[in-house]
Amino acid sequence: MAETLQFVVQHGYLLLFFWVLMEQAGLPIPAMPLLLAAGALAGQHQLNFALVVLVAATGSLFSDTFWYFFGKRKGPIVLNFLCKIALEPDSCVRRTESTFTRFGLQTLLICKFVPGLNTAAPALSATAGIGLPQFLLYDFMGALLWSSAFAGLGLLFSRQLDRVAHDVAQFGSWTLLLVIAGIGGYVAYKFYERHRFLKQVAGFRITPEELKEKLEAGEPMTIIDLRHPLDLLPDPQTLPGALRISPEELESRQSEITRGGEIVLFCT
Amino acid sequence: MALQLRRHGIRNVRPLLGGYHAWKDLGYPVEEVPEGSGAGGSDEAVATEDLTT
Repeated sequence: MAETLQFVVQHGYLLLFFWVLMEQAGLPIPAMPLLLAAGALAGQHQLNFALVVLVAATGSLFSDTFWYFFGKRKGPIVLNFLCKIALEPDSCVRRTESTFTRFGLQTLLICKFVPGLNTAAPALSATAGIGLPQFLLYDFMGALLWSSAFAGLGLLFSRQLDRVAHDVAQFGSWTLLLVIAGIGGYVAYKFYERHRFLKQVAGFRITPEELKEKLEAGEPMTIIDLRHPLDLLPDPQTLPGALRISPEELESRQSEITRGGEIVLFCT
Repeated sequence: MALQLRRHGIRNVRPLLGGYHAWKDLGYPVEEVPEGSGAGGSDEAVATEDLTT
């Protein structure tokens, strides 16, 4: 923390702007400690609190606008890409879309507080057909809320943070090693889970080529489209004869699924 | 999802490799989604419409 504070004092607002910009662009460099540090420095009158909040929110808006236009151009593929680099790719797309459907535009106000959702929400806004002025307004308000919350915490607890920095400095590199080991262990566990899941599924996946051959041969088959309604907005098409069933409904609508032939499930 | 169904005893479930985009990118046939067939029920469909208004 002491090094972080020193670094922020030296490079100030420019560092904060680019750090937030990079974090919102998808890089795994959390801006929260920096915002806390900047808030703490504002409490010690070394930085201006309002400027800290404004600079961080502007950096966020730049990245988010990039994802918005990218999402507009490429559609749900952007969300798929962003979720592929997330720690829980299999639930990421669905969770993001469900949150968006539930809260609508207000998702942009809260998304910065939810890891994963913060980067995915701007692209999803474009896919959902939200206009640029509305997007910019809500996204900027959300960014202001987020930056003021963390910088505000830093401001409130500036004395305590200073003490924490002092304590951490006393324990030296062991504290840092412990934190890195903890984060590394968590990430490794998630990757292991993902690897185990893919290994389980790999044995019974069907390729598009194989599916097409089976359809042309007239084999009995049920195709289920599990995509979220938001995925259909830019491209309202599906595979021939596919049933639209959400993952939540799959159990209750089991009677609609032909048990005789194969059942093919697909998402985006 | 496929694993979940298999655990419920439905053994003949197969996820499509690459999903919808892999199918479409190969130029295979697709058809229009009939109106009102939004998965997740009517509530979700209505909420989605609200987003664009």
